Amino acid sequence: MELEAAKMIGAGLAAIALAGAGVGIGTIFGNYLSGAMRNPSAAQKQFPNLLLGFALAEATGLFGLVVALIILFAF
Amino acid sequence: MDKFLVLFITFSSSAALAAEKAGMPQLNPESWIPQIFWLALTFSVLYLVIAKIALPRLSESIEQRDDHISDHIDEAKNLKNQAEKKYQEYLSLIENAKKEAKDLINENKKKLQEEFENKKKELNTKLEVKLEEVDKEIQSFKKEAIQNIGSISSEVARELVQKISKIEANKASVNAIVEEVSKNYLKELN
Amino acid sequence: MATNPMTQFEVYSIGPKIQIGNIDISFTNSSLFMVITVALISIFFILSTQKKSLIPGKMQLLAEMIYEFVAKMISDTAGKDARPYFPFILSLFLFVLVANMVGMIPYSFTVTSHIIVTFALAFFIFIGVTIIGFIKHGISYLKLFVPSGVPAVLLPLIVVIEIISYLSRPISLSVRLFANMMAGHTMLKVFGGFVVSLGILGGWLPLGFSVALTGLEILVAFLQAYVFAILTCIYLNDALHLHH
Repeated sequence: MELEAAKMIGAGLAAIALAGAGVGIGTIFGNYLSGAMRNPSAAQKQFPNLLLGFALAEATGLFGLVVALIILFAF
Repeated sequence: MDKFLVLFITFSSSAALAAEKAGMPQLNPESWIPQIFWLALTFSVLYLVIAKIALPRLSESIEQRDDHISDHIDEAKNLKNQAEKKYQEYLSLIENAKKEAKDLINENKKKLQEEFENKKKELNTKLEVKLEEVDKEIQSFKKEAIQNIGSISSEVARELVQKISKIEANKASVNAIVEEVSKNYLKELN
Repeated sequence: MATNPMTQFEVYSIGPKIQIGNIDISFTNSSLFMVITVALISIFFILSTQKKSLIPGKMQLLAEMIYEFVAKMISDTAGKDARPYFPFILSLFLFVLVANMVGMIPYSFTVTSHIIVTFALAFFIFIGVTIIGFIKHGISYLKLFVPSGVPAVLLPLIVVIEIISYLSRPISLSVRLFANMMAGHTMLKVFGGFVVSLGILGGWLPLGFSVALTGLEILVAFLQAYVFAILTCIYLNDALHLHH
């Protein structure tokens, strides 16, 4: 059962990556909002970039999640 | 946030899962080859449908619409230009008419003025002639009157003398006297 | 726990076993949903573009809106040279989008929640983009790995990093879509399990969550399809224009 415990711990550690995703998404939306407040006319044009940045930042966190899942299930 | 929850769930269920068969169906290599095969098949069918049927039709209809719109815009521009031209023509027509009317008025005015002038001149000359004639007549009347006054007054004087003194006065002497008196009188009068 | 949230991703064969030589290619539930996805898109486009009327109806308008949306996306990110790849990117976008959306229907199967499907798509894009790059620029396509204005000392390190990042493109592209889909669906399933296990008294809260999450997942389904397509455009732009 030691292997099982180690897997759990490893998966938990891998899930820490999601914290980075949280920070990244927060930064992206916060900066978009402050930029949009300063120059509302340019906001609409940058909306696709916002979504792109959101998806990219979230994906890095999800990689950690995938690692966790692989540790749990694949071995 | 949702990803944390997923993790939580996977943790909590992993104990149960361990008892069951292997956890993630995605990592089961047995299902990979049929999925890839069917993906390739369906995706190429989709690609063919999109590339050969949907896109040509779509771009054709969009182009058709754009053509139609640009045609209409061109037509509208044309019509606008025509209208502008017509308007300009109309404006020039009105301008011409106004000019003509003005010219006519001016001509008539001139004519009338001239006629009036001419009539005035004629009348003036006629009046002058008449005035001269009248003047002459008056002059002649005056002369006559003065002459007549002399003879009449000498006659009157002679008759007066005759009546008063019963003397047949000499015509010539009376005349001389009257003439002298009247001369003096005229002198005083003047 | 009512049921394991991962069972929804299980692939099982429907109908007879089909084999070519030694390889098993039987029709599975995953294949069924791929066929459904393609059929939906094809039927929609064939029906909506049938009339080609000057003043579009609702269907034609929707089809034209999708067309304009993807055309704008491509021209914004990859320029005019990417025009020949428009049908591929449009079908890619539609396939991912409709597969995600069909997966949102309860009891259905999400094709894109399988890493092998997304990886096959991403790997195909990766190979295609690389081939396009080499055809377009020849061997000088390798300049992509040597960014300009980097000091010579750092160059070996940078080149290695660039190569790794280039090679990891198909992985990041596929894992992004797969992980989003899997996480979302697992979570919906989990909340559904909560509703059942908490019963009529306590189940309302997770039910509300479930509804809200469904909305979020529909947004994510669209967003991931959009991101998948736009990243493909960006990779294509790299291959076509080689500015780095």
